[in-house]
Amino acid sequence: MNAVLFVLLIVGGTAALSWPLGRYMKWSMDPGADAGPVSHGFNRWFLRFAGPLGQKQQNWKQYMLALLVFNVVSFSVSFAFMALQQHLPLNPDGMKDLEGSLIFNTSASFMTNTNLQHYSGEASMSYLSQLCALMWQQFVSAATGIAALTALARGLSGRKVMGNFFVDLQRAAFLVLLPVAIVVASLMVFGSMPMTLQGAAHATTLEGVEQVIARGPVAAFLTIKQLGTNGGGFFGPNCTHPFEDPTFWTNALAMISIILIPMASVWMFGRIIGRMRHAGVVFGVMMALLLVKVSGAVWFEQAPTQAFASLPIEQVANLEGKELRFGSTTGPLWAVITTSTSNGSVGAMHDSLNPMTGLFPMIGMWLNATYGGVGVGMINMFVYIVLAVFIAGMMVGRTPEYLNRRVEAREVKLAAVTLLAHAFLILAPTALFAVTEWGTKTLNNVGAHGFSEMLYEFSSSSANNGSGFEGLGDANPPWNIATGIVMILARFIPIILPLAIAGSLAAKKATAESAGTLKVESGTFAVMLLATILVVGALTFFPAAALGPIAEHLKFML
Amino acid sequence: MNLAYWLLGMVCFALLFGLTEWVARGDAKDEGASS
Repeated sequence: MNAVLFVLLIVGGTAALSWPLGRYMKWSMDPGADAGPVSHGFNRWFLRFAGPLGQKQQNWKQYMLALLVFNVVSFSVSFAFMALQQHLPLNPDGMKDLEGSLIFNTSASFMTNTNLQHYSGEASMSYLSQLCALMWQQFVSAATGIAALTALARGLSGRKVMGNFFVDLQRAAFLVLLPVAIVVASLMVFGSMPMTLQGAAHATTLEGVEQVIARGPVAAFLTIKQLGTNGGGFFGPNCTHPFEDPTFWTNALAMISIILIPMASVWMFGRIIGRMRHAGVVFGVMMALLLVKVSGAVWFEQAPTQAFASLPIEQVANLEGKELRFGSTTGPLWAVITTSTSNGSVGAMHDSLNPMTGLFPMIGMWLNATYGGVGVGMINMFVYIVLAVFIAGMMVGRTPEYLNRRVEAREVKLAAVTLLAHAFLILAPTALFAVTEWGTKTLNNVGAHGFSEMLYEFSSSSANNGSGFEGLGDANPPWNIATGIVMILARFIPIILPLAIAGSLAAKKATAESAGTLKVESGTFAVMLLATILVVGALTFFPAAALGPIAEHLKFML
Repeated sequence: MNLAYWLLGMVCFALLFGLTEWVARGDAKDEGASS
């Protein structure tokens, strides 16, 4: 009963908060003529700061090129900070330079909003690297996602120009992420989270041994990692480290922070396209999928772990790898929320989850649209929407339409390629690493569990999630290079192609709705969308799931 | 050595710029066909 109440408090409470935040995000990102003098004041400031780059309104291609150029610069700046950290200031603990493939992986990881961590922050990063190479990216990569969604929504509302990327980026960073992060970080500091620029604390234990206790600007780092669905921890163990998750209340606040902006992004999308009821239907479909995953994960985690099966102790829920102060519910709940939203921070060790519990986080990353990453989750859902209206149109023998624009062969091909790219970037490298020493030599577990570890790693990279199943020796050049390439391609292909679809739809003449039009505000559409997501997801990923978590589950049953 | 890894990142971006350009050409072709 307590587990149900806790889930309802976190998920339901955040859903309620997302409504006003979505309204605020619309005001921030796409202010109309009636937005008021404050909005116009900010707009003038952002235009002035962007200089000549901010003057021109961009079509989808120009917007996309600007986004890519900005990310080339972001990648290069982060790369330089990490490669030169031993020569730079704010390095009180004398951190050395990092290995080249690790710098590549970490730069790609933070630039793409993934924050897959093949390094241990407290043992290898200077404070300057943490702040200027990593935390800075947590703002701008999340802002990039919000800007991309804003452009997509403008295109779908019929505007041929989608705004200006450099202005939108500033709006997302300074009007959306920064104010919310300041409020949440202050609450985290009140919740006993460290926030200091002093080096590690040195303590002498009762046995007389000197202990070095790493600390730093943890509250600032943690807050934006959650709000921006970034997920990279200040400490190697992420939110299983007590300084990243000191109390029950910081635990609850962190989970709310993870899903708040992805939920609000759906409402912002609805307001920009002027179809709030449609946004409500999409929100409902996402919520249904999220609740199924949460329920499944929490239920399967109530069984004791097989590791304790032969021990002469009372068998209770699986507590291995959990933060015991918070019980057995927060672990699977956090695991599902963090993977549904492309966040990737961990509140329990995912490698210790029961096999079928471990399947639900993977499903979240495979679908990548049950709220998804900040901004990009709704973009992924848009791809499923295009497929759903196409299939529905074919079923009744009519040309499919979405928001009064005809969906034709070109849009459907682009949507299909988007989904296939995500699947390819997970399954192909998993297969490669499963049959070569790049993968087999790095496993700590053999059989189905070892396969799950590799499958999870590439799922996490392609979904720009960043969480790790762990148990994998992944801090070496083959893993660093492979996951780095996957992260970069999987971040931008699902932005390029949906923006092209929106540009293509915006260029078409609006058609009037008729009796044969599938109304996107209806329950029929919700069922169609849900069925499309489930069928596409199952057809694509079930064979891999059968080889990993399902095979492991059945092994324990037989 | 680090430069080689930075260049690997640039190769990935070159692919993405190429994809954007290729998809945009499809747009232009569609507009040409319909006009």
